[in-house]
Amino acid sequence: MFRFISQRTLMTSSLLLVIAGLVGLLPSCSHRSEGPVWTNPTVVVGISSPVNAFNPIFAPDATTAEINELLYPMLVSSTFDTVSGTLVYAPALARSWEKGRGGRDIVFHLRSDARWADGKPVRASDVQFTFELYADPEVGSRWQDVMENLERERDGSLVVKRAVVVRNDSTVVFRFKRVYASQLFDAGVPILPAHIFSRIPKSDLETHPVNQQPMAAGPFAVAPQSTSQEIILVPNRSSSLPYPARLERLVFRTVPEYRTRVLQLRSGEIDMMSALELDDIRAIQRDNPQIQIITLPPRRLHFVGWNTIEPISWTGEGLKTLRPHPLFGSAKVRRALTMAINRTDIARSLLGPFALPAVGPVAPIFSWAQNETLRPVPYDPRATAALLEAEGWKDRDGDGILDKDGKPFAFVLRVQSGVTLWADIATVIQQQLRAVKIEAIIQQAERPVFWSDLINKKYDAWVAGFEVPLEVRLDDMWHSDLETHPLNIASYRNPEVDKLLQRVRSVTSQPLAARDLRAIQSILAADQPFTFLFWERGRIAVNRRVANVHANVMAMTSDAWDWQVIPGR
Amino acid sequence: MISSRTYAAQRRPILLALLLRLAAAVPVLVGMVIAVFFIAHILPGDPFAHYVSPTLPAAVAEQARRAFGLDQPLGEQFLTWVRHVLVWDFGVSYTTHQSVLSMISQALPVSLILGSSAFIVQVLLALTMALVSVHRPGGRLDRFLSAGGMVLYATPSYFVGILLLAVFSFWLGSLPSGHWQSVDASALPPLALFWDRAVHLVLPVAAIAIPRAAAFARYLRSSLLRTLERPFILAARSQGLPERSIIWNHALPNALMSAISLGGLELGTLLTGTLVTETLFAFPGMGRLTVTAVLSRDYPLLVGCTIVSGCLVIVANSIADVLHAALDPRVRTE
Repeated sequence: MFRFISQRTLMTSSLLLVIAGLVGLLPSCSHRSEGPVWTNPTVVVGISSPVNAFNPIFAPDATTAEINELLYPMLVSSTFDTVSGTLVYAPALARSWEKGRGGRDIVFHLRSDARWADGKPVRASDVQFTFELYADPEVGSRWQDVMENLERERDGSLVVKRAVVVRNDSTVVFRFKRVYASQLFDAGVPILPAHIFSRIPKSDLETHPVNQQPMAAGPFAVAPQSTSQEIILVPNRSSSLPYPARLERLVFRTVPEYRTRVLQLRSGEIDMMSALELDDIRAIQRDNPQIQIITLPPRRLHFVGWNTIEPISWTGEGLKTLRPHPLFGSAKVRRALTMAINRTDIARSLLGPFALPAVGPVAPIFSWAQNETLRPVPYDPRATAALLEAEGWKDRDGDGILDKDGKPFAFVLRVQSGVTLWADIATVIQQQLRAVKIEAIIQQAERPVFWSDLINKKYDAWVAGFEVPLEVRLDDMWHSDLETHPLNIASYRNPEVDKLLQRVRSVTSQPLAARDLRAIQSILAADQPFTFLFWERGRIAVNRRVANVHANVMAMTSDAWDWQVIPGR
Repeated sequence: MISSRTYAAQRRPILLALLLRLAAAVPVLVGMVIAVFFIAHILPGDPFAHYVSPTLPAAVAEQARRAFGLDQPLGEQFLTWVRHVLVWDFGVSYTTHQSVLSMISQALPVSLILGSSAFIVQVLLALTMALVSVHRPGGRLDRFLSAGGMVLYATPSYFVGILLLAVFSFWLGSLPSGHWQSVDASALPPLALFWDRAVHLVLPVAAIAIPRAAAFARYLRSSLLRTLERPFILAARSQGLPERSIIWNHALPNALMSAISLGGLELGTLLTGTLVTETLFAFPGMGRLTVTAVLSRDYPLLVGCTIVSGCLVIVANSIADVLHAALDPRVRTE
């Protein structure tokens, strides 16, 4: 017999279901009406991926790094001055500093009142210990490249104790091997508590519980109830760097789906999010006066990359085997392709006022280094046809695709899957190239495959983008030595550029560096290893109930300790 | 009334059947894990590409790989992994640097609660729709439910989710748009925490259950109609039994037999995570965890998720089989 579910049970369950549905409509059970969520000065930031650990040794993404900077002390705090286009430093853990040895030494004097959350003072030995840990190849920290500029021994090895010298509890000396613009930036990494981390075996550093409950000295501490999906920061009452945070709670909530994030912003469930799309900004500006949109200076470059070498000729074992790419090995062909792409239209339609035309790899935020004389390559499909014909590309067989030596002008244009902006750009470019009888076949690849293949120079052409560092660093992408510069994804080689890059590295005078940087930009504009599409301005949406938000080009939350919630909003 | 001896005699074969089912599933699970381990490792893409900068010296990247044993031959990696699994150590995630077991133990309860709640609602909704439909087959209500069910079935759960979010969360502002619980809810007393989580479950459960219930209801309706045409129902009617009793006591149990197997499959997929809903409503469940593991080539996490998901599917189907056997003596005899 069928006894486990009776008619009465079913009817009762159905009734409960209806009631549950109605409950949703009742304002009395609104999540905003009462409870601990909305009555306290809590600010909720919506983020797209979870934060799993607060260990600056490994912090794999920008959000984790941002949060770490609110927890751990740093010798100096840095801000980016958009007028001068340079980083400006202010005292933090170091109350002052002076330079020695012609600028190669920097002596930091630490504050005497800085304390870890357990009451122990932050000492110079913590700084030295931190750099030892970061430099240890066995640890494999993300700060290894910072160590490259510390003074080395005669045999080229790095002995951190001799490069980061403790004079006394409150004085530490950094010895660099050369003078360069971002010495203070490199010294300003998060400092770890030696009395905690020295007790952890190196093999356990990645999994130790301290990664979830860090010992803070910055303005915030991590609340014990935090999870990877929801980071709850509370004021660190013992902080003097610069003072305990004003907010009762700063919450980072993971909302992976962009649409849901926008809905939550508009309904007031989260107070802040970044990277809004153009349509949503317009809708918010129209319907949500309680939300302000903060526009950041442009720092993200989007481009089409052309591999200048034949992918199969790259073995990673030397330059002898390299052969020019049959399509993109010629600068004239690359220039012709750029002329066939209407960059202004693409930028306007996809990002509107949040895109600026790009002419080269130096971001507009570095006004001192920009080559103002350069103008974008004009959009001129007719000139494209003429240039390509001069290079031997002509539709000889009448199939609607240019050909040369019996081979059609067709290639695969790669994009990373899941990045809508790049997929949209690729689609438009495909149509525009079709108009000049060039066939681009779009293929998507997952993130780990895309970047790994790009670094290994396996692609012919691709649409991508990246955020530039806060100093002008062109070596990584444009130096001819492909083995030591794996980020030169276009495999671009030009001895003249190499010479200029070398000079930029060796000079300390900004005007001299600017002169060479401008020359490099001119060469790259002529050679077009990339079709530089546009620079993207960052967009942050903030609920107006949160005051003192001065989001800047460095990070959304860099001044979060100063945020306040306006009463009554 | 069933005597205790008869009950025990009936119970034993069911338990035995369950154990045999589970035992038979072990080789399948082992095969699946081996396949996933090797397929994951031969997939293109570098698991360290996103956090070991290519500008770093090669020695650093090598060190990271060595730390996770990726410098060893694949066979050796597998044997090491098996040795660790035997002592209940599933390894450390490449991306989060947390123990795989702890990550799964955080995600699993979320998926279990979301999946089982959605399943219960789905079954209740489907049962109600099917019973209302067969009350007067071809009638106005039946036609309406059939057409409505078809529309709901054809609607992607992503769209249903967005619609629910827009109506209940954005326009009416009456339900939270996502997350497992409110900010700082762990500080709430138990009853308030329970209510808080229940309220957070309403929309995701509805987003999963509504389209699935529509499909399940269609299946149940046809099954019920077929059963109602069988001779024993005619015999019951000829004895003058009331229609309600015929449906509830005779037709429904028989119609449910075939639906139970389908329900087992549904339950299995629901418990292992519903990626779209979990992503849309920011639920940190197994679906999201598994996809994150795949996309970041986080081998230990991926294999860990596969084992857990495989076990859940096996358990769900075994429950369905046992339930089937409990309700149908013929199956039990077989």
